[in-house]
Amino acid sequence: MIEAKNLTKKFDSIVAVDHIDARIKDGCVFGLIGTNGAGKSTFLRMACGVLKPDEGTIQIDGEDVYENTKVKGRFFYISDDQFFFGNGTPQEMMTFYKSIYPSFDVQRACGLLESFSLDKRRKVSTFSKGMKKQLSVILGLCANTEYLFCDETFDGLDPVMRQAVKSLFANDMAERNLTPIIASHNLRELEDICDHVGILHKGGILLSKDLDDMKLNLHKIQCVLRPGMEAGEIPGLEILKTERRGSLSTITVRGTREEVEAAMRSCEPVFFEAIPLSLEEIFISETEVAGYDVKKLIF
Amino acid sequence: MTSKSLFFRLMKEDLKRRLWAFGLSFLTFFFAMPVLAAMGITNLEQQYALWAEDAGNYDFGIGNTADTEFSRKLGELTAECVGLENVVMGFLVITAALVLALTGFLYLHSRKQVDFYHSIPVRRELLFTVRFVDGILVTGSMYLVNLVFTLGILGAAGAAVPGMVSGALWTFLVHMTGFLLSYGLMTAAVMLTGNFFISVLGGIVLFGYVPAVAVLFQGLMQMFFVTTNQRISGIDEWIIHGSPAPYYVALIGEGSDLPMARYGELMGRILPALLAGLVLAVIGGLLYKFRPSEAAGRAMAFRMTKAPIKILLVVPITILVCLLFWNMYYESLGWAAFGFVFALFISHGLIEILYNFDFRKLFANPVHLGISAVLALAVIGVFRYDLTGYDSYLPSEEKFQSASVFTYSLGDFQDYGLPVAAENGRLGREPSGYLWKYMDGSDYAAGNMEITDYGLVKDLAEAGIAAAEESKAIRFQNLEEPAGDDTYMARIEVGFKEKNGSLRYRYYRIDMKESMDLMERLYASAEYKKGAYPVMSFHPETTTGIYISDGNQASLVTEDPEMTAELLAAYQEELEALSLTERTEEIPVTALRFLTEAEKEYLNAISVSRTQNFSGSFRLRDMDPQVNFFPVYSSFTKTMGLLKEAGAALPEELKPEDVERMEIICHYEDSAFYKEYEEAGWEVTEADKETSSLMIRNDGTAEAKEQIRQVLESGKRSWFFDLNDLAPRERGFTVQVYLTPEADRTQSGEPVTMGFSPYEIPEIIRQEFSYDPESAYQASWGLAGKKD
Repeated sequence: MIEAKNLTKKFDSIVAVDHIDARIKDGCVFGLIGTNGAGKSTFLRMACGVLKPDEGTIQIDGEDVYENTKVKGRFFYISDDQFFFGNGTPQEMMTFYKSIYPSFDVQRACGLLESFSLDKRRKVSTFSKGMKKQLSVILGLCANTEYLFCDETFDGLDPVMRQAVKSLFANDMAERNLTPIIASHNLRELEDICDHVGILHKGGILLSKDLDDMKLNLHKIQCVLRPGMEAGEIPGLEILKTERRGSLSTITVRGTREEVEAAMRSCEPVFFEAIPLSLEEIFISETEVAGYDVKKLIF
Repeated sequence: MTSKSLFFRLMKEDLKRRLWAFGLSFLTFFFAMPVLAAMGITNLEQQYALWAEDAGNYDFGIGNTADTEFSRKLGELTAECVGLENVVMGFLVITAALVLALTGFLYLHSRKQVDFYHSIPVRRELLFTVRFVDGILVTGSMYLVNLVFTLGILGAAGAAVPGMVSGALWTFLVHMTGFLLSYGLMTAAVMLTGNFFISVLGGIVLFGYVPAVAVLFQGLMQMFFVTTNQRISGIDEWIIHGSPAPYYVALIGEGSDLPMARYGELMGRILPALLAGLVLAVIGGLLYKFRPSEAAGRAMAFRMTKAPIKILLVVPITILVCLLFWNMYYESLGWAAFGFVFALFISHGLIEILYNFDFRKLFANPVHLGISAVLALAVIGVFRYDLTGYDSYLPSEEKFQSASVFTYSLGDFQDYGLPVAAENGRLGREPSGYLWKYMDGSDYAAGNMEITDYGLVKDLAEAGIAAAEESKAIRFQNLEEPAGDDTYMARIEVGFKEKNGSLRYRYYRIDMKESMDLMERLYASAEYKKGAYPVMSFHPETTTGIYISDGNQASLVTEDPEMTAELLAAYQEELEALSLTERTEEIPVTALRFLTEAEKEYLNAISVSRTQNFSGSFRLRDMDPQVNFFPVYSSFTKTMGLLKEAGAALPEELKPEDVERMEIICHYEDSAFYKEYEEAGWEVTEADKETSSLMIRNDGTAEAKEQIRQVLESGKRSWFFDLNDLAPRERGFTVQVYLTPEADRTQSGEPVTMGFSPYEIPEIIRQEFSYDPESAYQASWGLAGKKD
């Protein structure tokens, strides 16, 4: 498990990461979401030991990451602009990583390169941005580390490749309990892959929750209440947001489906129906509670 | 995976990506060594073919043939290619160090690469070590490969390769030491910065800072201190030891003066440099370890270094510009203030702009600006008001051990020197294998004089300090200089040795006439004479013979050990007893050389090398008649008596009948000589006015004989005047005396040059050139001054 406690990093007068507490459980996909400058990359760079925290700690299974080769051997970091040796080829990169990560699976890497139609003898400098992203993901996966830090990795991948990469992640998660930590500025990009999401804004963490928890505890109710009755008068409902168009009310509420339905039934509405929330709506609801207009932050 | 195997894996991976460095190093070294050797051998073989074709026309020296000459020249070529004489290698090695340090760690300036390297499970110390060692490996391996090629080429041409391997390896060690020093320092520059351009500037600062500040301090000392000069300031040591490049260059220079077989003697200089290089490497490693990764792309990697580095740069720049303006405009305080403020703001602003890559930061950090201004003013103040007491330094009697005192004004050091065996190598260009090393009087005194009379030294120093204070007061308080043209200012260099081993030099200017008693006391000191005259330390056992000279020709007095010992003892005794008053009055009558064994060996060697048909002792004409000859004053009666006893041919008084003709040359522009001609209607040019002359031919007439007699009676050989600067001398006249073939012992036809004391100007000159002692501005009245 990766755990950040009170993690802080400043660049001169700019506070890039501001006293963040977060936990990333093993075996799930952690999505780190935020606008440009929110501190995602700084967080990842501290998580992978590139940067030394100014305050607080970031640890993997209780051990500090910075300058800890044992811990660093457990992850692979794919930066937003991954470095490849000048005039280097995928094959040379594989050789290098093999010398660094003893479990690097050269055979699998060759196979994946072939599947992705990447020539292992071609100079990486002649690859397109998307091809470089594919290569970095292949190298990262084949390093066979427990964690894979990906900074904007899906940016630049076409939808087909994005799907292929997601499949690879899913496969490795299933086979060897890989924990990918993916930073992105685009929530929709991570919607179908993340198990847990953390939203960063101005260096601070706004929210860090399991998607399932959020999905099961937030509901949207469309209903027509008895004449003269307002949504706020329904007993037992933790209402987050209410919209009304004519007699039709749309209420976003927190609670289990059973609790919500029971509460609705008790007020004998003319009509009610529970509608599932999209991830986007869940985030809007959750962050609005905290006083943020999340649409401005992540969409 | 063990860290050892990881080290080699990483090294292998890194070297694979630095193949360009191997290629470049190989090529440059290839041209600097194997190609140079091959070209040299081609030239030598062509030369050899010419010698073989026309052997009769070449003189290779006694016992030498074309083959031995070829071998000798091949030996020289070896030193030029694989020895320290190959100075190009020094330049290439420094360039390689700078390039490899910059390129090896340039990745630290790129966020992309820093993320890559610092996210992998490798400790930063290991990353640094791999890169650092690879840089050394690139240079070292390519050097060795080319060295082997070169030795092969030289060996194939007939050079004795086994004999040169040791020298070549020492050369390699010297170059790698220079490389390590430069590489280590440049690496530190890269570590301290986060941008290529700033790294280059950082390198310039680290390489040049100490020498530049040393030069600035020297300038400050010379500008504000009166008792210092360039020679004694000790700044050279700071320059050499304050930066890798000067140290390396000095090491190469020192080594190239030695034959290759003796390069091992440089170990004492190599070892500390190697240690310094290792320390620099460790510093580089520590900087790497603590360098924040986010420094990539910034100007400075460590925030805490920004202010100190800036202040350390701004302060000397401000002082320098301030003093330049001060000096440029006749010590104007207004211009000095302008230079100060201008340099302070500009240098501080420029550094801030570079630190922040933002022109708007020109006036950032005013506090640092203020600190720099205060420090610069403080430094100038320390020098201007001599707050360290430099000019008034005088050790207490308790601390004082001894002192050396040297002044050219006592004219105590003529052309003295000693032979240095050069064996082979660069100094071996002299076929004899010897070089003549001239000795500087002040160096000799510094190394040999130990005056223990504290009272004498204190009085001398106090006179110097008082003169220094007066000179400062005149300069800075605009006091009037004391009137009078009768001053005889002497520059005196005093080296104070304290009991704790410290040695400090001060340089005084004192009025010799005012301090005549003091100078008399100094000159009467046996310790002074021992440190001023090398002859006072000569021993009869190492003295092979005595020679006499008139300045034109040397001749042997005696080689008899007994007479030699007696003469040496007499001369030493009389020289020790010679007083300063006697020096101010007496012109030497001759000069003696007490030939040491080493000098004789040297003379033998140069004589042998200059003729094939030479045998026996050296040729007398190879002895310079003016070098290492010590003056014999007229009061040295015992010495002269022994010289006569030994049958020495003293430069006898010339007789009128020995003279064929003489030309009296007058150097007074306003002499009546040309006026008479002008009045007679002759055309007299400005060039004519500069000198005029009178030719007297010994035509047998009584008038000519009388004129010649007058001149010979009053005149003395010019060289004897040269030997004693303290006695009176009229420089306005010289006489060239051409002897008859019978009287000319040298048979050279060269004239004897004579001069006069202003008190003994012959009548013929007084009349012909209207000589007036009152207006004789070229007359030197000596230390005693003009007599009434």
